[in-house]
Amino acid sequence: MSQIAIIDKARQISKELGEPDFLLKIRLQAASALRQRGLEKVEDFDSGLPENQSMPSQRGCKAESLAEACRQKDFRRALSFCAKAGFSPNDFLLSLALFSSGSAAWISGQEEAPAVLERDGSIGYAFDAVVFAEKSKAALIYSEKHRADGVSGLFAAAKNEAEAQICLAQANSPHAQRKLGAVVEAEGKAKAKILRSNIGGKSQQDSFCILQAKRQSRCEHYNASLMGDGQRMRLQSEHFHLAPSTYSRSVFHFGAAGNSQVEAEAKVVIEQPAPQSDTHLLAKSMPILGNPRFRIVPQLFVRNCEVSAGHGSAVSSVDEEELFYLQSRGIDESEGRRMVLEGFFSGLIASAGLNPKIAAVLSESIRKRAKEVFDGQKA
Amino acid sequence: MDNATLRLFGRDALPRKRMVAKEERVVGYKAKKEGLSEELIDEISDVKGEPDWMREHRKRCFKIFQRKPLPSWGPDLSGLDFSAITGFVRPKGKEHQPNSWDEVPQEIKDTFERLGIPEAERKFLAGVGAQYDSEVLYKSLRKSISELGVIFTDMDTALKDYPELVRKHFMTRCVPPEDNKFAALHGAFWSGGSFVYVPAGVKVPTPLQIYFMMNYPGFGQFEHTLIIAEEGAQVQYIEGCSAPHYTKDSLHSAVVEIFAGKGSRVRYTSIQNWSRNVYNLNTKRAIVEEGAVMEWVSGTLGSGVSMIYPCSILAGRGARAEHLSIALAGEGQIKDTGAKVFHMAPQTSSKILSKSICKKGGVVRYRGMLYVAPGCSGVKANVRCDSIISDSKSKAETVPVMDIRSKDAQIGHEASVGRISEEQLFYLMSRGIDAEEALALIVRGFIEPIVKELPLEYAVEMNRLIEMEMEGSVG
Repeated sequence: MSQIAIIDKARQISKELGEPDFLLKIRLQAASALRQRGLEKVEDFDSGLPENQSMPSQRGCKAESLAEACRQKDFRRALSFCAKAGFSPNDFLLSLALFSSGSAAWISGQEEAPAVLERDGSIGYAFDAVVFAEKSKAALIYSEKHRADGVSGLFAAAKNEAEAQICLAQANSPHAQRKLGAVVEAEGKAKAKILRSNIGGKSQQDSFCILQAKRQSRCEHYNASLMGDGQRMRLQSEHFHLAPSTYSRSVFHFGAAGNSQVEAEAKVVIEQPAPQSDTHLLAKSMPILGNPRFRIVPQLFVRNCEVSAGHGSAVSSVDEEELFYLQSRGIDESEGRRMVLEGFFSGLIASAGLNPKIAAVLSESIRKRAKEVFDGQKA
Repeated sequence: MDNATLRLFGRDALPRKRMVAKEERVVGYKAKKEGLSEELIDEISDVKGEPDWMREHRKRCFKIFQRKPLPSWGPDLSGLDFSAITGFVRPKGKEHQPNSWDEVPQEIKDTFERLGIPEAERKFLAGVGAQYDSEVLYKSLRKSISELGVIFTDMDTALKDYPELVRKHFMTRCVPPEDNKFAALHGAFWSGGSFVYVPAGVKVPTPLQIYFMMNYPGFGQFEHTLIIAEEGAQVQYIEGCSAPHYTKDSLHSAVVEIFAGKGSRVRYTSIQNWSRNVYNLNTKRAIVEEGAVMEWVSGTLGSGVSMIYPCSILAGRGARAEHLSIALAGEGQIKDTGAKVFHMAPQTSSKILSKSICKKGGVVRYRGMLYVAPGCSGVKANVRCDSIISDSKSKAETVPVMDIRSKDAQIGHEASVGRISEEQLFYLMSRGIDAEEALALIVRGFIEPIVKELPLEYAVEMNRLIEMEMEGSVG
């Protein structure tokens, strides 16, 4: 794959899409930030523009192109801030600089049924934003079914007192190698739940930056990922408590089989202006079959003494006693392992308190994937 | 500073800008120039009368040191000026190697007597050594212990008297000089330290102890500790250290290599209380064979910057390691400490327990590595790190890495950070205990799992030292 100079490509794409100047400015801010980090050239994933300009399919929300969305001053300002900020992950900036397809979804009011944004195609660089309006109470499923390699960016904001749930469900095609860079903001008294599920693709690299910069925000970050033979997953998460009385919980469950690899570096930072903050992170990993590799690094950086902070991590395969119990009830070993694995994930889904539709979609996808993994291992 | 505290840990908080006449009198020989160079290597080797292979080893290590960059992670070491370090200072009295305590020069004797060394030797130790700047000036081993075939001597003597043993184990497979920049530095300029050899089946009933004193300002102390416990042996080794406070920085870069043979048991206890102008950058590692047990107990109280990560390589089936540590960081101190365990064989187990306290802007950082090699079945490991952060100027950080490549491993890790519970304090105060005593009780409870592993005298003094540091932390 050929390499492209980021700044040049950003100008080229913006010109070809006929974008307003303010959007080009944001692209160039992101490209400049990457240059300061030593990144000037990247792979050119986009094979041809017309096909790649398609918007994501959407249901249940008002979605428009990023160019249109950026006409709103507050939104434009927020994106520009992220483009220049040191906390934004590289992949977030990359997709913001080079997206050929960009959208923004606005969610307001109180909705039972989750809205859906779906990316299904061969897009190299895509960028999507979703904003939950003040006092809204709603959920969104952001579904990724990419068929080609590339980088996606996501900006998600839960405004004051919003109750937002975002399910990022990745089920890319088996050969796709993708990256996702996401920035999530929870404003004053907002409650945000982010659940990331990775079951597809050949490799997936997720970089999250979660900001709690206004007081009394609550943020829960979940990850339910199941990797089969030959798959690789890398998660880098940075979660910042920047204001008083902020609350966060992070719960990650990773399952891996064959010679798959799971790497997770999750950092939680409580800065000095964040007294009365409460945070806990728990990462559980389950090797299923074969010889998968786990590299887990939960990090905690505390700069204020008036906090409650902790983390935990565990790696353990299927409990032999649980397996024996099932076998003694006539269930064969492979089926027993699969049931224990499903239980491992369903525990997380149940405790997350998700929208029932989201919980159902997730449970079904995990169940299906678990069957594929076990059938694959048997073969 | 009362005498009871000085007795064991010798903290001297009075800063000194220059040498005073008393310290000058105890210097027998010092390096011709400041700075670390190949000329200094030749000087050290000539003064010690070393074999050629050691001189060449030193020079090879120096080349490695010059090649390697400073670590890109951890505390800022850019203030460390190698060109200003005095790499070798031999105290008076070393030239005629004192055979008894009476023969040690008076000024040096006074220093160690304040620390209770001879008293401790009489009371409960199997053997004791005392190092002053670059050399071990005094050592003794009880006759009953030496008759068992146990060797406890300084490294220079071991190099002459047991060359085969030393050459086989000295910076070969445990801590090779390529390991890191400071191991290479140590390999080039090492001096002093102790050599312990325990034959197969011998159990040394009481601890061996060595005490390190850095007296000279701007000094680099590079002592080497080599402990070999043969099959079925048991030994406990304790080291303590201190230095007066000068305005010029000093460097302590020690290497500890431990070979725990099959079925042996080794406990290594280190209580470090260097003054705050000391950079304390050590490499400590043990290779633990089948069925052997390695225990590390560390107290890191002093120094300005500490980077210490005792490492256990569990090389044999059923080997076990336990790492217990306390770190205390006050104003201007950074304690970047932790533990590393590599499970390289099946049925191995490990436990890491780290407690740290930071106050008045101090920084404590736990940095750990837990690795399980492929195919190692039945591995169990548990890591726990707890930190008390007393005020919002201080920082507490944890960076534990778990790299697990075996599907049969059972690994658990947990960490917590917070301040001393107001509820606990209130509970005790409501029972008539004053605030300071309540704080002391809570802190004692916090560090109890580690302090209880120390010999009683050390445990009492450790509690007192930490309580003194915590005074004024309530409110």
